[in-house]
Amino acid sequence: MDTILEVKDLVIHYETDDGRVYALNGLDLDLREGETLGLVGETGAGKTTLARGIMGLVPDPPGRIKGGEILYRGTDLLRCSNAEMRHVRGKKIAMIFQDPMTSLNPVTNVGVQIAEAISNHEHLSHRDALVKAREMLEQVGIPAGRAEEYPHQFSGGMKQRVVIAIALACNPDILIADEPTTALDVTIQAQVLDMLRELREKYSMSMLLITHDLGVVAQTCDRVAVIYGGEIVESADVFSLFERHLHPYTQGLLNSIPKLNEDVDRLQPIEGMMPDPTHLPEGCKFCTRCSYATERCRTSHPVMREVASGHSVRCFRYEQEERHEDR
Amino acid sequence: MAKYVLKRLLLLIPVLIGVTFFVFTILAVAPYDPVTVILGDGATEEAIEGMREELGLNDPLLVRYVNYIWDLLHGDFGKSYKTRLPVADQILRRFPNTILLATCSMVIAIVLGIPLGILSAKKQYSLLDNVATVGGLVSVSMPNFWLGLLLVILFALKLRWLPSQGMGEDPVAILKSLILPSITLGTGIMASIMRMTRSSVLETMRQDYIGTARAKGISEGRVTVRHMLKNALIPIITISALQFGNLLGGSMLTETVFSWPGVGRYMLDAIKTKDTPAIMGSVILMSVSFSIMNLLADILYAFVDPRIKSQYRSARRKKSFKGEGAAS
Repeated sequence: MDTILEVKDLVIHYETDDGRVYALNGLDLDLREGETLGLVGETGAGKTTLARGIMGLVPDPPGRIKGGEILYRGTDLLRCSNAEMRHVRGKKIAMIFQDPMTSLNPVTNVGVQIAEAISNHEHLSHRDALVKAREMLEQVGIPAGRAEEYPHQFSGGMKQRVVIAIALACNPDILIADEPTTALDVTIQAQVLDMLRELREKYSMSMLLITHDLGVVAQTCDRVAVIYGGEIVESADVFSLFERHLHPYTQGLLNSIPKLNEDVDRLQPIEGMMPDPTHLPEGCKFCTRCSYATERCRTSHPVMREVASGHSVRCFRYEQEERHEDR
Repeated sequence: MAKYVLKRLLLLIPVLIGVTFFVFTILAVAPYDPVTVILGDGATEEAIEGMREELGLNDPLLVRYVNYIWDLLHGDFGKSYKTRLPVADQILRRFPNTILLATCSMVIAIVLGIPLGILSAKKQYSLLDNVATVGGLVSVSMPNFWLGLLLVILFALKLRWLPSQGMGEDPVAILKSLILPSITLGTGIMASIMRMTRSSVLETMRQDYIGTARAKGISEGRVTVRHMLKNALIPIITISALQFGNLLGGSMLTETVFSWPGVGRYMLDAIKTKDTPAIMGSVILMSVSFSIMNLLADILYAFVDPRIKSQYRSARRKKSFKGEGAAS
């Protein structure tokens, strides 16, 4: 499979009054044609910043892109002009935001909100765009007759469907879904995820699914990347990762999920807190919470190592394995 | 919607009763005698007493008030003490001039205020924003008549471009004489509209749906107008309508400075000569125009924000629902 989107060494900081927030620190990621890549991490790990970075929508100020490349089919999006980026946004790469309750314009009817994206990219008249908008609504399971209604007349799950219809209206190559189901209740979550999966196949898109829910990842994704402190700490295909989670952070994430076959009284959280993003540790970003941390972890920064085919991890503990494989 | 409007119009009645009673009482207890104003200082005792009887000033306050309201209900606003001319005619003759001036001032204020406010919000803390902020504060704090005088000195006396007084006869002359008073009145209002637009746009700018709009790849101009401004309009409508309502009641100082034949100047003259019927008439006009503008703002909200529209509707639905419940 060809790589459709490649993020190389992306560094994004926020300059705030309380100091510099190190949101992304040399993040590498690649998304292949037609796959669903799950990006997993806790709040503050830099997931949304990455999504906004790819869309060219990092608020500046305070956000600053300090370096790196975002290659979409070989073109560096960071070097694109504003006008060029407008042709990418919505048309090539579309995005679904976290909270459907607030991501629709309350004073414009949903048909127009979908049609706006269509007439913008496909040079259709307003009327033709509206017709296509109604078709999109049907696609996401909303009767076309509701196109003239306003967001406040829809439930949360319906709103997220509308948001999805907006994102898919111009048949994008890549869909970035930033926690698309976090704000929804569990039954609706499943519906929305199923629909996303179906539509992804139907439109043969690639999808970057941002989530903190490993269950969602297991259900939906082909590959997984785990993000911590603004960098990827482990990436693998979904089966290898659930079978053999190497990074202590990934282990902690998986251990914190209660298991159905064991009787557990207490959940097992990862000890400690996410480090303050204005003062990240010098060495491994996870060393403050890691039970295996050594002096070396605190002073030097581990690199990503491929320990098995397609399975990379950023941890000193697996240096041996890599050498072993080399031999 | 129609029911809502009707209800609001009916609410005008208690408002007007309150306002008229309040002003009427104040004028009645104020330490002056309208009769001496009418007849002058040299009047004889009998003439004064006759006049008092004729005007009904010897009746108790409540009786006088009820009489006044009774006349009002028959369309009689009374006659001016000073000129002996019917107040209603006088006010209605002047009102179009005031409407013209108010409209021009509002057009200036809105046409400049909203774009400037958007620009300041989009370039927050830039030089432009700072200049607009300081300029806005100065224009709001500056007394209208003083700005009017400055404009008269510059454009009428020194440059001799525009007339300083009155209202011309033909359309061109009217337009010319409108310019200075409209700027005088419009400046302060423009500044408050600008500040309101700025803060309201700043608020909507941070909303998630702006991100959704940008993610569609539409132009920044469209994002600004269709998504930011449209959502920011409610407070802008409120302040514009209130200011317009204020202006329609007549702007005493500005109309006086420019000798504009409007209701504001009529009211000031009435106050100066303690002309009770004229003052009452002006006050009624003022409160009616203010209330109607308020109502207009509330109606406009419904056109801007579908959520508010559905509230107006659901109020009706709730009622009919209750009615059904009671019937069954």
